Amino acid sequence: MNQNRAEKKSGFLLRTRLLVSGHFDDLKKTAAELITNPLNSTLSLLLIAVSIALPSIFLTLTTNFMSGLDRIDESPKINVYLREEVSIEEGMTVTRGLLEHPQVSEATFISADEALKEFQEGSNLSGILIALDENPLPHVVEVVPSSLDPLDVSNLVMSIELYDQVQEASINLRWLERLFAISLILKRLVFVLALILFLGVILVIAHTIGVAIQFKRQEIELMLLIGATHGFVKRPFRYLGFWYGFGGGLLAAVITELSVSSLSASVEALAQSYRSSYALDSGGIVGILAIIVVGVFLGVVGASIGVSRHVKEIQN
Amino acid sequence: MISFDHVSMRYPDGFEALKDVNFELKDGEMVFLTGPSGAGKSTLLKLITMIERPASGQILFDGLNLNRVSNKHIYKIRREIGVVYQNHRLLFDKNVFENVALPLRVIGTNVKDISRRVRASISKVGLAGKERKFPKNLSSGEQQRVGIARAVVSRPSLLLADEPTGNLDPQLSEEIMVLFEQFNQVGVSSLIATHDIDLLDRRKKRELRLSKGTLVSESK
Repeated sequence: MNQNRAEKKSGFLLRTRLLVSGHFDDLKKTAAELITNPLNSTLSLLLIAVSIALPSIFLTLTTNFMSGLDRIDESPKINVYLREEVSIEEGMTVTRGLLEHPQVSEATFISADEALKEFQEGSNLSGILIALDENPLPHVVEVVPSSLDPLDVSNLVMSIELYDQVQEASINLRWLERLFAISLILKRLVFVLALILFLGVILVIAHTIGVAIQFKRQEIELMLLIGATHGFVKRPFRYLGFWYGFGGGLLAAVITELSVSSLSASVEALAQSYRSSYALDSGGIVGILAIIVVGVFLGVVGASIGVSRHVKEIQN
Repeated sequence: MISFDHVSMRYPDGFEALKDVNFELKDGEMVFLTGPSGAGKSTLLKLITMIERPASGQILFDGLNLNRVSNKHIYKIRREIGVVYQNHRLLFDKNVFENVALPLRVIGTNVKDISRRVRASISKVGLAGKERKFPKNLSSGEQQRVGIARAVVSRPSLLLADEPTGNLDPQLSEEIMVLFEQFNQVGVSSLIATHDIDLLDRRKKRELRLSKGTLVSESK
């Protein structure tokens, strides 16, 4: 007993060092176990990897789809028609004013003459306009909203219409609304899919850890009998969960990269047929790290569940 | 060291394993716990290691009332006790050194001290040179010695043994008992449950005899 008391006194630093080295040992040992038992671990690792990779691939595709939409030439513009009596100078002032608006990312002034020229070049109806005595077109400001959210856009339209110089502001909101709804559905879909699959990963890891605990039942019982704390007994299994999550995440990142790059070629070909250059962006190193972090997180959560359920069964 | 004060123990199925047991084990004392199987010897030891808790009465360990020790702190009590089991409970995937080192690893002893103390403990039980052997390559007497080395490696203040010679022939049993006496001589309090009366008769030690859960006699 005196010995134990002496150990208790042996200083905070020493104890911390022992604790850290103990943790490090467990980390190494559990990693070694995974590597030396490839048959047991491979199936679980693959299952985890696929479950993480699937939502990652979908997420990559939807974010690419949405950023692709942003790049479409016909990004939604608000056509602001100025009153007839507004001069070019006044129109420029209004444009500068609009540029200051927090919800406006671009505002371009198009004078009535420019608008007419554009119209003549762009349509077959030029004859009709020539027949008219004077230019029937008003000055226009083309405004690109900074947010695509239909609610923000319609608010912006309303606030623009409050300008004295403005006759009317118009935008074709319907296609924007549809687009927005579709992207919202896609986002939700990815979210739900990820939720279900991540839950699966947690359960797989909890189960795998549970099997590992059952396998070491005798050792755990003995450890508890000779005075191990529950934390000490659980620790190696927590690390095992960490490694499963880390390995699964790493594998998932590889699967995601491979799938996205294999899709990328055909997407580029498609983009070229639309005379546009576009390549899939897989998220690069940040994406890979994010996938691994998700894996580690799921591993640690799954292990905690598995460990607390199964060690409780053993007790004593 | 240990004192039982009107301790009773009933298992969940209603079986009354111990009835109103009173005794004291003094510091540095060696006491034998006897009685036929099913008399409650193992239950009594389990109460001390807190695998079970008494239905009534109280147990003092080194002045500490075990009823007041929460489940979370049981490990502290167990670190003060070395236990030798009849089936020795060795881990067969670990060698002799690793088996004996377990109690020290649990309390976080550093590698150098572990090595020194494990070797000392192994040579004390007469197994020097067999550190790298695995339990399945040892005789049952040697396996039990490994179990004893593991029980004493952390220098516990109390040594409990549950039928430590149950699987051994008389000569090996005698050797094991001599070991326990040696530990007792350096001040380790010991409580040894056995039904091997021959071993007892040759020694002048106190005996606690249990029968059907009741302490029937205390002899010197």
